[in-house]
This record gives sequence, structure tokens and C-alpha cells, in this order.
Amino acid sequence: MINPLRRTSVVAGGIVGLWLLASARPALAYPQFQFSSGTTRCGQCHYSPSGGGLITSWGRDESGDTISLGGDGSFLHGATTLPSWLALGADFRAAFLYNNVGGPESPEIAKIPIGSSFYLPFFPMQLDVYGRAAYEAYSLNVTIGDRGVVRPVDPTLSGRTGDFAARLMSREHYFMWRPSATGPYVRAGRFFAPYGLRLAEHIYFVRRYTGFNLYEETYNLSGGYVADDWEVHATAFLGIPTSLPDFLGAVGIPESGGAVYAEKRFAGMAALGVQSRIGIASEEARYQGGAVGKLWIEQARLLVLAEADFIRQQVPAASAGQNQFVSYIGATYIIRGFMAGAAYERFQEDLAVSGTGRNAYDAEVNLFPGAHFEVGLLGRYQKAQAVAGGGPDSSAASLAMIQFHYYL
Amino acid sequence: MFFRKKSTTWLRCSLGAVLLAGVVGGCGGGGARPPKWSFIAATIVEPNCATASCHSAVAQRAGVVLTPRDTAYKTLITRKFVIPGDCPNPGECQDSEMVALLRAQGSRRMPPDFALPEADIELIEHWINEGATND
Repeated sequence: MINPLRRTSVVAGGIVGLWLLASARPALAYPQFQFSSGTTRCGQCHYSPSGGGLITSWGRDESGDTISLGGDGSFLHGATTLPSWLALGADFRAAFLYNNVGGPESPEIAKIPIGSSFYLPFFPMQLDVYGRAAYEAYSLNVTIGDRGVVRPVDPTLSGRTGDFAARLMSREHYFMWRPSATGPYVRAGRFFAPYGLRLAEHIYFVRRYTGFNLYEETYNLSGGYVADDWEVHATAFLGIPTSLPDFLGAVGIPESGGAVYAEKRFAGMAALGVQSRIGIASEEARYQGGAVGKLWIEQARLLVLAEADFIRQQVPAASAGQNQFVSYIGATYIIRGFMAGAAYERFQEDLAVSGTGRNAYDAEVNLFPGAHFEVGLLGRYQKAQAVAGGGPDSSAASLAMIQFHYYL
Repeated sequence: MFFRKKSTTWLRCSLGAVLLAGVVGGCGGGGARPPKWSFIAATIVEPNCATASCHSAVAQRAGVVLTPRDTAYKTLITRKFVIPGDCPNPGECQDSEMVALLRAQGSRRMPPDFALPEADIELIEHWINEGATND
């Protein structure tokens, strides 16, 4: 006799596994485009001074002229021209996902039914709409999106993922004062504080375990200064209470604190960044700091990205804590219309406890056949030092994902 | 020369930041991890289970919410994912659904994308065997 709760949990497990790995992601930029596309600052192609989200007219031009194989990157492919005070955009991703964690139920492939007997091996991964209205140096920036769905929701499971309206949320909305592309700026609202490499995929350890996992955007008061060869960003943030409506909901322990990121660029081909973040909540506190490195090797068309962070997590109620280490190093070959890279990641959950480390190896290929279009392939293999069960299957997990991306 | 001097300065600053974080991180040391729910919730359950598409407040997959700490504790006890005193020895929990899921193989395992380290599960078993209190 199978425990109904266990059966429910087993069904949920498969769904949740795919969800965990492939739900909608914030429309972060590719840090790989820094230096390799001829631009040195993230804020050249994005309205956000630290990159990500809605792209500027410069960025739209670049998408057709230098990144993809051609085409008009303008809004609606240039069919209409928006007034200068208004910028709009949208991102849509559909993805194929293969997930293998071993065991008799693996591998799993995400799919959505069409009718009663036909399945599409894809799921809607991202649907985000962006708007920006500006008056002189002031702007209001809003992103509204729908959380991705790997599968239609199993009716035997409860939860808050059942319908489109319930999944709507605004992960970014902020006012900004930014008189020019370089120089000082101030912004207030919800977004990710500038920190780290800001990789697009939230499953990477340096995002997942540093306070920047999916939907962990905080409410911030942030300011900084951006120059041609250096920039600095300082952010004070408030955690989002779980009591807020889903539309404004957040994930993660609601820490409040501050983050600082400073980057110095050298000769348009390298950058070195330092960073620190303190997040304090009623349940725990995290003190972390680290460094970022970027190196563009023009002759080889190769960009090397690296990040390392030490984290001290303290739990006052338990009078205890743990020290963590998380890192990423990757190299990407980039030519017009094509990008291929490999990366190694390391996360040590507790430096004082053996067997709590895990490694991940990633391979990515991105094709940009034309402005507005992208096909991305991601392969990931994870291996732990010592895990539950002890069997050979339990220490490894792998996934493969193909994304079809269109932006308006 | 100017480039080299400025580079060196930034390199020193970067290394200094990392070392500072390491020193701060070293304060207090890791030490033995206490089998207390406050520690387990903050260091194991919330980072690995209460994620965006799983058992966070916005997703509530399978009706299970594992954040914040008190809510997670109530969920685990009332739905009998945890049976206090159920784990006389590591790997010998008879009825606690939570441990069964953490030790399962394949896609039924929790978390489904990646297994927890054995040390984490043993800590949870230790906590269960000591009464699984909300301490």
C-alpha cells in the first residue's frame, strides 16, 4: 500500500524537478557580450546601468550589426517608431528540456499536451513585457511577466501555478534618475542589486547561492557612478515579505542589507571587480565578499569569465553558522552569430564539513541567426562528493535544454 | 607603466576583498552543526527546497510551503513528513516521509534536481531523533 502522501510527492517530484531547472528566468543579459561586441559597459545596450532587461536603441542596433547575422533589431523589426520618451519590448522563450537524475523514472522530458494524445516536447519558459517611460533624466521602468510552466498542472496537486493570471508577476519596477549614459545615477524600486557576473541562467551556483536566485529581486535604493573604464554601484535593500500578493511576491529568506560592486576595466579587453554583500533576516544573516574577472582575447575570439565568493552564514537562534565557497570559471568563443562556451562551477556548502561540495560542468552554444532570434543549447552535468543513498546514480545529475528565444 | 600600476592596485584590492571575506567568514568557525530546526531550516531547507518553482510561498508545489521557518516546521509536522523520534540511527527512519524523499533514487528524490549531501540528511535525522522540536 503506497502512502498517498508519498505518491503525491513522487508525482510532484518529477514536475518540480523540471520546474526547478527550467522555470522562467529574469531577462538578464549575456555578460559574454561585454568586450566581445565592442562595448565595454553593460549600460550601453541596456537601460539598466548594470545591464539586463530592456535594451536601448544602441543595443538593438548592435543585435543586428554585430551580434547576430543581420536584420533590423528595432522594436517590431522597425515597422513603427516609438516616441523618444517611450521604450517597449518583450521576450518569449520556449524550451525543450531533458532531465536525468538517475533512477527508474529518469530521464524526463518536459512536454505539453495538445488534445488528448499529442504532445509538444516544449514548454513556455519565459514571457516578459517591458516598458520604460522617460522624462528628461527621470524614467519609470517596469517588467511584467508570467512564470514559466514546464507541464500543465497535475490536477491532483495543489499549488499556485495553475493559471496564467495567478503566475503573473512584476519582478522589476523602479524609478531612475540618470542624466547621461556615463556619470552618476540613482534608482529606487525592485531589481537585482548589481553584484557578480550576473549570468543569465539562475541555476549557476554563483547566482543560486549568493542571493540572486530566481525571483529573489529585492526592493532597493541604489546609486552609482559609471565611467568608460570603471564603475561602482552601492545598494541598500529590503527583503520582500512573503505576505505580499503573488504579483509582487518574492522567493528566498527576506534579508535586508547592502551590496557593493566595483569594476575596473583595462584597455577595453579586461575587467576586475570586487564585491561585498550583507543580508540580515530574522532567521539568519549572510556576510559575503568576492571578486570577478573578465578577459577578452581578441586573437582567439575568446572571453574568460570568473567569479569567486566566500560566504559566512550565521544562524543566531542556533548559535551556529557555516562558511561557504562558491565559484565559476568559464570560457566562451564568440563570433558574429555564434557563441560556444564551457564552464566549471564549485559550491562548498560548509567548508568545515567534508562531503558537502558539489561540482558542475556546463556547455553552452548560442546561435543568433538574425536580430530578434536566438537558439540556445545548454548541457549541464553535476557531481557531488557524497550524497544520499550512496549509489552511483545518486551522485550525478544531468540536463540538456534547447531554448528558442524571440524578442520583440 | 601607468596601466601596470593601476592594474596592480586593482588586483591588490580584489585579493584584499576576497581575503577579507575569508577572514570574516572564518570568524566563529564552522564547528559542529547543531541538530536544531533553526539551523536546518536556514542552511538546508530554505536554500534547497523553498525555491521559486517549488516550495516557496509563490509556488507552493503540492501544497507544501517550506518558508519561513515556522511555517515550514508546521507543514512538516502536521502533514507527517516528519515523525519526531523516528530515526534511531542514520538511514533507519521508519516512517518519516521527509527522510524517505531525501534518500529516494531518481526523480522521486527531493530535491529532484540534485541530491542533498549525506551530511545534511544525517543532520536532519539527528534532529528528528532528538524530538524534532522547533528550536
